Amino acid sequence: MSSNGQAIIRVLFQNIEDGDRRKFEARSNDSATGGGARDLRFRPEDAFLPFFGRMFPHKRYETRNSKGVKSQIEVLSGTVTWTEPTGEKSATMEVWPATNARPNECRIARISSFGLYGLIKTDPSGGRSVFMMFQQANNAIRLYFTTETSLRTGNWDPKIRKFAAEWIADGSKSAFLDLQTMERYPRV
Amino acid sequence: MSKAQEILELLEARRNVLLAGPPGTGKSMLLSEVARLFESRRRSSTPTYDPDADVPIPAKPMSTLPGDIGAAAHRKVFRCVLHQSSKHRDFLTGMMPDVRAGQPPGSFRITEGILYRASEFARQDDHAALLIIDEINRGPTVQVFGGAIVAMEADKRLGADGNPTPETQYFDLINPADGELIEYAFPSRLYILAAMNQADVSVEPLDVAFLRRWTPYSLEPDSSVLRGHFGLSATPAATLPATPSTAEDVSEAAIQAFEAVNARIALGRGPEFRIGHGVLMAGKSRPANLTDALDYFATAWRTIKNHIDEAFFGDVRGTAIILNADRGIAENPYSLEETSFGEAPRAMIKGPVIIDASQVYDLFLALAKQAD
Repeated sequence: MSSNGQAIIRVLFQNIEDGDRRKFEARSNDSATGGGARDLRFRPEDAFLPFFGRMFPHKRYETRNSKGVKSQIEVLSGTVTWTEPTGEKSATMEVWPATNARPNECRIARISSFGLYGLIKTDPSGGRSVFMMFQQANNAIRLYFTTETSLRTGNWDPKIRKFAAEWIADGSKSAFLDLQTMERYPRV
Repeated sequence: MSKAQEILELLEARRNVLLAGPPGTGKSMLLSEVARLFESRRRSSTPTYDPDADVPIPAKPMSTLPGDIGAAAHRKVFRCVLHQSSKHRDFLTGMMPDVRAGQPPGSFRITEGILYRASEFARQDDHAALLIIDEINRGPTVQVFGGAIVAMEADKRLGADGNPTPETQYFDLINPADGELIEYAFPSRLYILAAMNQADVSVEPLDVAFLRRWTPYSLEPDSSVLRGHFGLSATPAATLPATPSTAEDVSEAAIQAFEAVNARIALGRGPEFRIGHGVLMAGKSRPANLTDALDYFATAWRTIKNHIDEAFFGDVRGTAIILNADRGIAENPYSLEETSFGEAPRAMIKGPVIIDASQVYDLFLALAKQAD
């Protein structure tokens, strides 16, 4: 399915901090990043999980056993695509709801398995390194890495640039913009 | 390319454009169209994925506006009319009595004139301003512009980045912020569009040095606009019927009369005294039937006649030639009568004060007749 020239309907940004870099590389096992976390976390869940729910087409149910209490949780999934120097790559991405240990944080599971570490860009001016997901009108989801400096340039579509500027000014770690429902986080 | 687009291209290239033409040639409409285009907001962009661009969701050109005008995210139009009482302080800055409530008697304040405000707007990053000055030759232009007359030239402005260039020309200005005299230069993205009637009763000739700072754009009376407006063929009818049977017959005669009158005005008084096609386009829609057409053009004729009387004031024979009243044309309601004032020969034009609907077609037939 050709996805060139398709309108963008959803965009997600996350600031990649040092601990997150290790998640992309599957080296993360310090407490600051959530133990052996290899997941990218998004909070507040009550904002981000509905957004992911609109983004990812598939749902399945898993049984979670927490301290002897079983419960059903909904796991979202869908195919994501990104560009590597060798060409296009795709994989299935999953989004899991919050755990009892980290309430109100949903997460992209096992980001380390995607082998994205080498694509992370370091901002030349010391600004944010940005992990970006965007969805097109044909529902294709792409991953991309950029920097705060790049997002501030006129190269980007004005809506994306404006949204990025507001997110950076707000200081929050993660952000989304749904151009279909016009919902956004942070709500600046 | 539309005329408005042409003017925007000229503004982008030369910064100062002077629109000139006889009254009724559409100057005001064109000014409004340029203003509308200048301020037209970019279409709300739809972010789109482009794998070949530098970034995956790139900015796309959203505007048909040229160059720096199109690139500016914020565009604003400032409009004014120059008149005989216009002053430098109304355009740039200056002192004026401060009669606002709460100010003690004898107070003064520093004005921020419209050219200054437009300039300050355009000095901001990503901003562009268009100043429209209508009737520019009705006021004391050189006094109004003062030292800005040189600085307004395109190559005497600040650079596109807001910094001076070796050619940047400064002039003295009272700074409204603190009252100090400062050196001031115009920004690159300040565009000035002026308009004037070339020939009118109360206009002042423009200073040649001032005129040189403008790129002219001339508008001419254009009967093809009338043909389009009244739904007529682009080619004039070879003959006009003696009696009209349709609205189109009247329109055709009116347009041929309009062309003939303008041709004679150009010879007798100069092309700048011709009358524009707008005088016959008072209505948004064309007359629906013969009766409407006769009424419509009888009313339009009043304005044309006024213009002729004004342009040939005191020149009875000239007026008679314009009206074809000197040729003994039977259907012409006007005729030139030779008489005397004592021993002195005199000429006078006889005819109705107001041409009514029953006379207007015959008048047009007479006016349209070329000299043998």
